[in-house]
Amino acid sequence: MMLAPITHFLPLTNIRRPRLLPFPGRVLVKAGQKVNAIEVIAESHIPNKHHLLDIRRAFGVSGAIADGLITRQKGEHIQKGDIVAETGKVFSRVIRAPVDGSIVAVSNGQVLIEASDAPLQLQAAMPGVVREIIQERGAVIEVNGVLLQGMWGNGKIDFGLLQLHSSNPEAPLMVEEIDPIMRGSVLAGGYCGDPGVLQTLAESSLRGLILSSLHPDLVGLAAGMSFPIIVLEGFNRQPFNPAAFNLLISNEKRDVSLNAADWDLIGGVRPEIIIPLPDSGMLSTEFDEVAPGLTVRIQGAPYANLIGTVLEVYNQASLPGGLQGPAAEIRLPDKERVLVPISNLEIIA
Amino acid sequence: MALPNSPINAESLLAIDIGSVHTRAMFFDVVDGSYHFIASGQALSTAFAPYNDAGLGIINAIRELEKRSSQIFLNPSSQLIVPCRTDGTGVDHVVTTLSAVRDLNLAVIGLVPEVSLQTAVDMAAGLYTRICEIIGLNDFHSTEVKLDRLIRSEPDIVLFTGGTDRGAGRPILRMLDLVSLMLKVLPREVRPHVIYAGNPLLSKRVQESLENLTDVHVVTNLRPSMDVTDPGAAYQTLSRVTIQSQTRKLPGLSKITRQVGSHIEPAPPAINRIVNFLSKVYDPSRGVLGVDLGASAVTVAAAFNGESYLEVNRPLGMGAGIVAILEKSQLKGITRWLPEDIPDDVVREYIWQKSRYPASLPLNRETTLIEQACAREALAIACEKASRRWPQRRPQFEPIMVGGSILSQTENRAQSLMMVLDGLQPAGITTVILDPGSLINALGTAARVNPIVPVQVLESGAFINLGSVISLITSARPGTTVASINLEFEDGARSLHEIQAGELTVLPVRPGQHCVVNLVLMHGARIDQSSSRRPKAFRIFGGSFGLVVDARGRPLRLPSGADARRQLLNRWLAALKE
Repeated sequence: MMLAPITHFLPLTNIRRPRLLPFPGRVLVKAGQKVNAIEVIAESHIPNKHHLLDIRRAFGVSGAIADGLITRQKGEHIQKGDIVAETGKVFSRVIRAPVDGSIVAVSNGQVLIEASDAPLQLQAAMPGVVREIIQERGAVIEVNGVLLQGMWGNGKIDFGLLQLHSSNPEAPLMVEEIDPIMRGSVLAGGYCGDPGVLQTLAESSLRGLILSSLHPDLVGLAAGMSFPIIVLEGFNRQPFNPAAFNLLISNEKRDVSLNAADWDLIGGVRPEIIIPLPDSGMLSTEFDEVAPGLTVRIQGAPYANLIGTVLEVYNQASLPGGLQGPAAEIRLPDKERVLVPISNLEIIA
Repeated sequence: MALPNSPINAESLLAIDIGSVHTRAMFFDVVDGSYHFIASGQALSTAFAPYNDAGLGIINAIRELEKRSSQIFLNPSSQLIVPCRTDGTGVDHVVTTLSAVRDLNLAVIGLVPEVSLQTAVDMAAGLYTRICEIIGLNDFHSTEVKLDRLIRSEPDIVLFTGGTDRGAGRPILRMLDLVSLMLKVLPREVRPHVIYAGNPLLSKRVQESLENLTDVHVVTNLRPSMDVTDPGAAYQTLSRVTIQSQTRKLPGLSKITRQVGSHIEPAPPAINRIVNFLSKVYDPSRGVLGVDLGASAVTVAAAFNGESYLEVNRPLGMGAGIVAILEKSQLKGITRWLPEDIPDDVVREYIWQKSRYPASLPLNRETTLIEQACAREALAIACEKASRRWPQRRPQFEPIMVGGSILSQTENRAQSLMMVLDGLQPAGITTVILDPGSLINALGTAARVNPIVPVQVLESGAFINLGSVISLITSARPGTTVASINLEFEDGARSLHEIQAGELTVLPVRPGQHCVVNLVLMHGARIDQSSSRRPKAFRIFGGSFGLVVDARGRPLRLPSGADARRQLLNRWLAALKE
């Protein structure tokens, strides 16, 4: 069975994505609630700054005795100056909280106060309806609409009105062509090889950027941008593939959400572009068996990013460079037929 | 290599190697009274997204194996048949190595940096772990600050060590307080495992303090005394815990234990086991080197008479780890190995694209050359880092075993050998052995079930002897005759050869043919960095490339001019094709 992953460029599909905190927290939404991409749906906190009060040392007693002198319990919220421990008696000595916070541990004569926490907020990352609540962790969000999956993202989330830079999918994005109208929108812009483009856009109020490809030297700069950037084709100078471009141009002026999560090759999270539509779609699968008739995208020169149709699948074939392995014969748009290893294919569906 | 024979219980064995890109199934069985490697099957790995089911890749690999071996291993429901049936279907034992893993964050807590902490860090370097925090006695920050750092480092495992046997107690108890506090603060779901490998007098106290908070594993002390290190038990436990953590984190892996049983271990200890064994079989004064160049990690296992030095470099490799090569070597470090003019942008873009599609293969000469250039740099980077811990900086290993798809799946073996010679730049006299496909991982794990299997398979010719290599250290001008080599064959034939500085020379010794080498060095050339003594006559076996004399100098210096450099690279490669 020769399997290949699927990259989605779908005009209408049902999209369900779990959004989960890394550890328990508070879910802020309810089942059935509508959300947008930047809405916070759950939050937790990362234990960040602590203060340790060593009562036993302060009072010069054993841990067991010190435990008896502590007047607070785990989980209590306290304010700066509150008494945490006291000896009692006539000339009572006290230990006071040095900061506001909450008590996270009381043990062996020590009190640990969590003074501040870095809140961890989980955004929806896509527009839709909350389908299912996962207790203390998050929710499953669902929407029907257009789905485009990218291969690189800078980790940001936002949404806006989709605007295309050009009606030509091969047109690269140039500084002098950035239209003030584009600002405040999500711009779909072709190949970017000029740092000046990103620097100019950084000063605008752009809500997001969709690129066909990005020069590798700009990855660091793009990662630092405040708006989401999603790259669809790769790091070689490539135009939008026809399927992706057709979806973008036919949905121009619609609301589009960008979850520019970087592609996690292990966990599977990918950068995604979602345009909600009122119709219903079917759930899509994430991989399939390579078979004749399927549309595939090829990785690797000299056919890099070309999209073609599978004609025949071979369990074993002689490949360039003396390699042997499973391969498929692909018909390219110009009708040329080429033999490509299965491992260089992704199904486009 | 003559290895001891033992009476064997003839049980067949299936070894499965789950890599981040490929899953391989390798079958070993008894033929003519000894174990041989029979056949293998390979399929794309499916442990990670979007498949999230390692079992799919395993079944596909075994199906390929069935086609090649004409043997049945799976029943109609695609379940492994274990043990072998009377009709010959199935297999008696199954072992599995795993390199399709996420890095785990490891916090190391101990006492003295140069003692327990260093031993712990060195030990952890041999597994798929990333040191996220180190806390020792020399850390004078407050408990709160150390606690906050520990929490922010998000450890998956805490390796807690310190104190020799009957040694320091109080400092360990202070560290125990710190670990205990951390565990109490963290939600249970994210609490790390704790492995305690310190002063055994405190083992019970550690166990009792922490066992209600998290999974605690108490093992023998890493440093029982100042002069003795004993990382074995801690290493095995860390290896086992990493597998448990991986199967918990990656849904695709938890299913495979049902398929393949309990003999699963990470790939590095398997490689190390073979290298360590060979170091006791071969010349104990030399050392054996094993290098596996994978998609996301380069594993370097060196052993000197049973003393192991294992290092896993991640992320670094020919798939997802390929961008790390670009970051460490910079573009010039890679392009200097290209024998053709390929624009920098093309090289850079290919590397970045490959990192996103790690399973993709190079489809033309240009991209093949780019990958092979990256392979050279990956070998060099990994071995340079590993060598800092070796007892000698540039040992004369014998043999050197290398593996990885980029090395074994080439158009011709000359490309394989060139990558090794350029990347590793071996010293002295050595033999380069190529692993045709994760056999060393398989044999290392098979040794746990049946130690005879690796012994006999290593003897059986399953690995490819690329050739004996003599590396000369010389600063003579290129073209200067720096050595005269007299070969004496068993049938009495002799041949005399002159070696020029700056050249690779292949001397005609047939594969498997013995000969005695008499070497006369000239113009200050030497074999051993530390000695200018004339080497005594020595015996070698011919490999695929007979006997190769590398007089290019150490370290290898390439011309700065691109044209001259490319001419030289092509000339060297052509020399190996002769």
